[in-house]
Amino acid sequence: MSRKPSDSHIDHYRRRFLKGLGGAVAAAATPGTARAAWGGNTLADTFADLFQDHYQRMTPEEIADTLARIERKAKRRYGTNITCKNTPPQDGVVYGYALNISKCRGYRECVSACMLENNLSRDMRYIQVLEMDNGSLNFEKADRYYDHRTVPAKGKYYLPIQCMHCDDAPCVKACPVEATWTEPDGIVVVDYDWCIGCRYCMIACPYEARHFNWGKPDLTAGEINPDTHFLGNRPRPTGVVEKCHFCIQRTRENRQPACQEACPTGARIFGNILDPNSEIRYVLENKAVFRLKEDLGTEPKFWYFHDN
Amino acid sequence: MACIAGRSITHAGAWPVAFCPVLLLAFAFLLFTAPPAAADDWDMDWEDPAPAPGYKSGAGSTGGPVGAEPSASTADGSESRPDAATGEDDWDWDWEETDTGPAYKSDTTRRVDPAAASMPKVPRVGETAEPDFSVSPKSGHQLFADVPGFGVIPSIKDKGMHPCSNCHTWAKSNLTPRRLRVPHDNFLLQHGLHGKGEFWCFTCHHLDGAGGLRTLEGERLSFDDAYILCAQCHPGETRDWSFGAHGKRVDNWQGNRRILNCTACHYQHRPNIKPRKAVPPPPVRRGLERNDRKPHVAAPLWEKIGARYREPGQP
Ligand code: HEC
Ligand code: HEC
Ligand code: HEC
Ligand code: HEC
Repeated sequence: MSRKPSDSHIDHYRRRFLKGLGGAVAAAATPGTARAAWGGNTLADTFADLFQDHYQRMTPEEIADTLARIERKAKRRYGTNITCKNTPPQDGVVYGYALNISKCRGYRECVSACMLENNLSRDMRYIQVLEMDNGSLNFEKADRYYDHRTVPAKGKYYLPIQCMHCDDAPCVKACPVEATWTEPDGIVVVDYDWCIGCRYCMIACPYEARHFNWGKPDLTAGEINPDTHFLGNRPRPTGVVEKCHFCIQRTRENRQPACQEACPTGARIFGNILDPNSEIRYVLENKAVFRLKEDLGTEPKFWYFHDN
Repeated sequence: MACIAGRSITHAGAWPVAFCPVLLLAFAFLLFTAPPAAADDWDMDWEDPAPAPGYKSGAGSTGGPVGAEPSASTADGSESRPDAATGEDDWDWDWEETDTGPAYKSDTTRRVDPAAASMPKVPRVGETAEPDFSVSPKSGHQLFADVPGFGVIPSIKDKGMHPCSNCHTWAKSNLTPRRLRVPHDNFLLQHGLHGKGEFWCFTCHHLDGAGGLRTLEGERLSFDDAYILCAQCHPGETRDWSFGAHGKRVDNWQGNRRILNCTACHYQHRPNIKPRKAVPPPPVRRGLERNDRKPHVAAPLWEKIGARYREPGQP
């Protein structure tokens, strides 16, 4: 199930694309500048950054080095001690998500929990809660900035959207340097250090789930969540694309994703779709579930359902 | 003291006068900030009691910035807690703090055995699924066959009201439905409350011993087994709940399954969930803010172009 690309494969695409951008000089400089853009740097770390390999090709020692370097850089930049993990996927687990739209009441607790958990720049949100007219699925009329005195508002329902972790993800196919891929447990991840910021994936995504890092995240030291994962919520360089990763730092350790934990209504159900006894399987098998833009054939692993 | 006593009469007389507004203010301040008396809890100000564990990012085995509030910070950095306005603290319920009941009851081995059915079936409202009361309520979380095992998080109990026998030993039970006064206000006999006024307290309660819940059949239940009570009339929801499609699991997605009791989200005496305030909307992404407040942007295009051709010095 592992989709480890061969070394030459990744290199080939990355080189070819970067050459197209501006020749061999760009190939050497682009990753370097992207990485140096966050955190102070020592000379040794700058060089180590420059030669950091694609996540899937790094040896365990190289990964350990890289994680330590990330922790050092975070310390220099924010003054906080973070731990950057590399928890591997669990065997026999593919994550799925189901959301009960008749329970969701538009509180937006998930949105802010996600932001706090994943060290997002405070102007970025991985989850958009769309306010929709009852009985319609017209995304053009969806309002994500609704601001009522109390929710739910009359005649409206709420439809949270986030990365759907498609099984056949178009964003993965669009990436010219293979900086994004599907992990064996079904999570579509990004190697932020390999990403060149071209944003092709954002255009390929049918769900508007990918977000570009326009500037340094406006985080202060106190706001950093120190429990991070290399493919998840570690501090990210400027100028790369990021998105929901099912809270990989939590879910690979059996904890619930932050959005589910924060939801007071119990509308969010997360679990292993391969486990026949899991809650998610009960929902998928016993409720009328649907997926957004199912006809595109991207096989999203994010279902919506409705009570009765 | 000696100094004050030694002052002239006029001076001493002026003291209370000077202090009067200050004292008044202080008194008013105390009044408004003092914690409400216990009886106030039963005021008919029915805020949504739905308690959800406050989100703490990183809280758990791996540690993290515990205490991160479920607040949303807007772009301008202003922090606002959604429910702070209503003064409700219920959202921070700490599940471990209860004094009764084990924190986690797991009994995954028991299965409903239809052959052992000894209790009569109870009347029910919904008809989607039939709960099986054939096992004693002590193992009541096996209401439905093949339910994956779970533990129910014990409810938070109002200390002033538990045990019921604190008061109900000396007061004789009066079974006639009527308007209740202090300390129980009329949760039930009003239109729009649970059962639309059809229920009387003894539909769900008994007052023998320490007091507790009873099924329609008269079987005693502990307060923490409230879901067995609800199951009688809401079998469909309870079925979904026990399989994980209604209600909420806490902490993990795999491993020990601990779920919230019905009464954690639905206030038992007024079960519909009240609307509440939402977390503030997301800010506009940096760089995309509207700047039409600035006159050179807000002015109509013809004026902006006109300004370019205008003679210097002319209006
Ligand atoms: C602080 C003292 C106090 C406590 C504690 C208390 N009650 Fe009561 N209860 C009363 C009083 C006083 C009345 C009579 C009110 C009236 O007649 O207006 C009453 C009346 C009732 C009634 C109406 C029937 C009757 O006997 O008059 C029920 C049912 C009841 N209480 C249930 C409970 C339950 C269940 C608990 C425990 C969860 C409880 N009470 C705890 C003081 C108390
Ligand atoms: C629909 C069933 C139902 C009816 C009818 C009902 N109750 Fe309750 N009541 C409950 C349940 C369930 C609990 C336990 C909630 C828990 O501990 O989570 C409870 C708890 C209580 C408590 C304890 C509150 C606390 O904070 O722990 C009191 C007091 C009480 N009921 C009084 C009454 C009175 C008085 C009436 C009649 C006017 C009444 N109840 C009618 C279901 C009911
Ligand atoms: C004796 C039967 C009975 C029991 C026991 C009972 N209910 Fe109900 N419940 C009803 C009926 C009848 C209605 C519909 C009338 C109404 O809206 O009040 C209802 C309505 C509800 C509603 C929908 C309210 C609304 O306005 O949308 C909820 C939620 C609910 N009950 C939850 C519970 C919970 C939680 C319990 C357990 C503490 C419980 N019920 C126990 C009979 C019962
Ligand atoms: C995590 C919180 C949570 C728990 C626990 C929970 N519910 Fe609910 N329940 C909800 C929400 C949210 C709704 C949707 C209410 C709405 O939008 O009006 C709901 C709806 C309902 C309704 C239908 C109301 C209607 O208008 O159709 C019933 C009945 C109900 N719940 C009963 C139960 C019972 C019985 C249990 C326990 C076995 C339970 N609930 C546990 C959150 C919860």
